[in-house]
Amino acid sequence: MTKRGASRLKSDTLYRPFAHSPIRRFASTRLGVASGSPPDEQELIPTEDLPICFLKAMWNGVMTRLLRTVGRRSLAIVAGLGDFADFVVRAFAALGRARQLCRGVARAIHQQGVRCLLVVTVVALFAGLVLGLQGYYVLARFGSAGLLGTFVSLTLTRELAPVLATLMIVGQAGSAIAAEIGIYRYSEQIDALTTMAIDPLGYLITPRLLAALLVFPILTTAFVLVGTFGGYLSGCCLLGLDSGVYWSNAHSAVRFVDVRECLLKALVFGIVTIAICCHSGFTAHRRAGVSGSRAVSVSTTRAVVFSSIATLAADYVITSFLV
Amino acid sequence: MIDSAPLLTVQELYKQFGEHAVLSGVDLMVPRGSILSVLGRSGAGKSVLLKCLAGLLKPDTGEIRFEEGATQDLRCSYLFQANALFDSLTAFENVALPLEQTTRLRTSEIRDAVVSALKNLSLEKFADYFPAQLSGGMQKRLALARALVTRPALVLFDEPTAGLDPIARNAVFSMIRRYRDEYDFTAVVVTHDVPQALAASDQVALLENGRIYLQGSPHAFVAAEDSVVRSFTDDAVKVSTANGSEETTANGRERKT
Repeated sequence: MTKRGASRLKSDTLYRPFAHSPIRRFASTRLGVASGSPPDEQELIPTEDLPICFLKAMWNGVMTRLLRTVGRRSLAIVAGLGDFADFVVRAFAALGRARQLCRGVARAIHQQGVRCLLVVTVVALFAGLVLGLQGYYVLARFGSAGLLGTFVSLTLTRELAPVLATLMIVGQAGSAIAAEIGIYRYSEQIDALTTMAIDPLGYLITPRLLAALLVFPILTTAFVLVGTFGGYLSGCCLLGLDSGVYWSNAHSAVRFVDVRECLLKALVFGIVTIAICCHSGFTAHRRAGVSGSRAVSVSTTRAVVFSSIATLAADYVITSFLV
Repeated sequence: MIDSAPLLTVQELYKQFGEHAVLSGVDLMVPRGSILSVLGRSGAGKSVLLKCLAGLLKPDTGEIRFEEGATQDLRCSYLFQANALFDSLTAFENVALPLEQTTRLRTSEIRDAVVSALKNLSLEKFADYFPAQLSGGMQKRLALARALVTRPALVLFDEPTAGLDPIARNAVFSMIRRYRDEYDFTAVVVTHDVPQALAASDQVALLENGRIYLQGSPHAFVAAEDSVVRSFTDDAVKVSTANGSEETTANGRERKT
């Protein structure tokens, strides 16, 4: 029998995959069929197995790509976390070498504290007003409207004040820090510091981290006080709750452990968020696919987004340990 | 003023970005007190070489040796192409910054040094101005004042005349030469400005294909018959040199004194 005849005989039971199809390339690579080889030497697949082979090849290809992408992303995340940790450690290690630290810290306190005071106060007032309104009507259903002071003060102290104050400071000062340091990077001012034998971390980052240690607890405390006053305004002045009952409950409800949790959260959120903002600006030149002002813009956005996520994640972790 | 002993010696410097080799074995010798101009085409690696000298980039292999065997020390200043002045600080604060951060001088001493540096560069009236409020030439002078206030042994200039008009370009090179004489530093200047470089430098080095193709006096550079060198010198209309020593090295092989 000639080769042509043998081939024709085989074609009754076997199918030469996608011989004249546009997806032949796919078949040749995914199913292991050598496209350049003579027809008789090709691996032939039984016709009934074809859909399974096709799906299997598709699945393998998709899974390979998926695993490759997930692996690459995971490695990038781990490397990024390592880089961030190294950055923070080196920034604190630069504390011993930094000169004129007080001046730098004073500037950073002005940027993070003084400039954010108004926005934090306004947000705290409205948060307290809303808590007072919502709390009053919810508690009134159960005949416990008198516990409004307890509700407002505890909610603010344990949860809302650290989180909201942090988010406000990140929005106001954190974004400014990321943009400022990103511009330093792109205008070669950080390189200029290096050539002048000035440690850029000690000069730019350390004072901001130290300032965060002071500013966040102070502004969080201010948030609690103003927010509690907001609750008093809506609960007592608008809805007619007795002010003595409100303040008495507010005062007696908050214990030392609540204040400790509040300040601990403020400290952790402060360090984490300001470090993220500083790191995002400092590494603006490493943003893939963008450079210049676009990279600064991307870094600023990332700084705010990551800081917000980190705040809520850290809040959950701290709360789960302290509750 | 110019000492034959090298302040800086570069040996077999290699730097590669991905697959692209920028520096492929640079050998360079910078005599103490001299002004050395590094010429080359765009993308030849001049700025990369300068950044390696300043410690901003780490070479893949090779050696950068300063006088007395020291590695890159603190007394090295770098003038960036875009000046890299701190835009949130005044002119005074810009010049004071390296003294405040790297020395233990008293405030009064720092003030005196800064005022003197600003005065030397005719910027004393602009001490309270921010960089954005100064002209391009004044910013260049301010950057130079900041670079010189620490009395560096070596000043690296990255394209100091980029974006300036011909008169300002001439002024910048005159300024480098004048302050070299006054402050007694060694200068390495990366530039495209061949006529000015030939007129104001003591030594010229041509960077081609990642290597120093030729290093020697401006006279030797102009006299070279090599076609690569000629392609650079043809544009240089007038050449006036202050130094007569003729020492030419082509690819490190030929040397005539």
